[in-house]
Amino acid sequence: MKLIGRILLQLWLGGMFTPEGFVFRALFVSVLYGISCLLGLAEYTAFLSGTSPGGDISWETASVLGLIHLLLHVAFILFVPISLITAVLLMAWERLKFRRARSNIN
Amino acid sequence: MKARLIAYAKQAGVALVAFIIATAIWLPCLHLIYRKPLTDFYSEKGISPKARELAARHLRLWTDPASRAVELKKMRGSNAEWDFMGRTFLVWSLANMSLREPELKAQYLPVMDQIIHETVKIEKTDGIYAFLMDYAKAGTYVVKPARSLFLDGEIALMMGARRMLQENPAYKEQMTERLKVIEERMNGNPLMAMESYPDECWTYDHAVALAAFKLQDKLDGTDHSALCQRWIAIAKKYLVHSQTGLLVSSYQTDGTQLIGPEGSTIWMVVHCLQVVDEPFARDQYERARKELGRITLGFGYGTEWPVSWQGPRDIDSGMVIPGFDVSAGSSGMAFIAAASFQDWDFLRALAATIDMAGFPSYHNGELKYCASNQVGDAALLYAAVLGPMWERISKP
Repeated sequence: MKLIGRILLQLWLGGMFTPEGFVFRALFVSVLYGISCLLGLAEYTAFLSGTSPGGDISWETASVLGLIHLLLHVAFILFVPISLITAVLLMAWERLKFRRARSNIN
Repeated sequence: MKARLIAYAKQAGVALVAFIIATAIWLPCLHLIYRKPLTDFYSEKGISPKARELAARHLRLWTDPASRAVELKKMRGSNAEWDFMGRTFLVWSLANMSLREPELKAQYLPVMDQIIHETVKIEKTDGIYAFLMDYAKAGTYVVKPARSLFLDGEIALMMGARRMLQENPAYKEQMTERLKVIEERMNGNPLMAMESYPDECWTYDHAVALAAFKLQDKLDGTDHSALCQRWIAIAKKYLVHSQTGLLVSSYQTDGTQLIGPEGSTIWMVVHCLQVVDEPFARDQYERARKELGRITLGFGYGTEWPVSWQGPRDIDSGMVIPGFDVSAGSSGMAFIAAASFQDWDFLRALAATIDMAGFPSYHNGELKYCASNQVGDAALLYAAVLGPMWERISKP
């Protein structure tokens, strides 16, 4: 478990500004959002309309769960695509740099 | 070490620029994912797919007592008014749907009757407070015996909507009786104000009552046009917020204004006034659209208050998202006004927002919005099917 954590941290921080880093973070957020969807946390977003959760769950717990899903949703629809576009732009920039360097050598 | 640090900073700078460019590319495109043809939400003829799915869920709630008990617990745990309004919006929706597709009438009439019967029964057994917020018990009604225009107006309109599909003598009698009380109380006050809560009158409830009068005129051949025009004249003179020209939301029986213009109120007011005084209603809609309606990056929403008037955040406004001032209550009700005044751009933008931020959940042909609730979904359903009932009232 510790090893997985270390690998994830390395991937998260190691390639902070690389295309791979952006893709990794986009995938990571997507996985978290997928888990949130599978767990049905969307049901708790009713706190947005001020609706009591009903059932046995307290208002506070339901709001926290709803907020987690809301933040992951926002991250999924904003951060993920922006990160992927950033990765594409960085790859294009690196390729451009590489071509320039090669033509300078030639 | 220094060279490595400089290279790292350079890499960070390039990444930051790329991230900013990516944001500038993505943000204007985001709404395209959620933007669907208008007919997906509102159809001028027939019933849109979304309306069918929303209605399917509500019909199940009224035919499955266990599911309904869960939903009612949620509604009443937040606001007893929502339980009541969830019923009224659903009955008005079913009436419009039956007028759009007459073959649905046989299926919907028993549900409408069940809702009306149960609602009136609760009101009779537990009194008006059963559907009012707790603070109603803390004050004393100025006019006695205590009656709430909120309940009388909406129940009368429910009964009228049902009668529009098929006459029912019992409902005719009850509707006439309720509207008679409203008429007497309105005529007994210089501002034609009737309380919904103790010494608290709501423009929303007056507009609903006026629509109920117009419906009665259509059904029974009565004539309340003088009463309606008198209310409009009073409203223009005493109930208008000076900076925006919008109708205020609530006031006391002596005319003292309590709450200024609010999105959660005005959008429904303009819808109801459409059958009372169309030019005035349209003018109010255009003002509300300018003051409270927003489209940002293709997403539509309503703010609760205009810039020139800030009210207290309450149960009607719902959560207000700071920065954008997005109000759940105002945005939900804005659907009704946008559909009424055929503001298709705004309606399409609102529909994109609810699909993006409402967390739609589809299951067995049923649709619900997780971020909303039963009354919110019923109001959306009403927005998706409104039209035929108002058209019939307006026809000479």
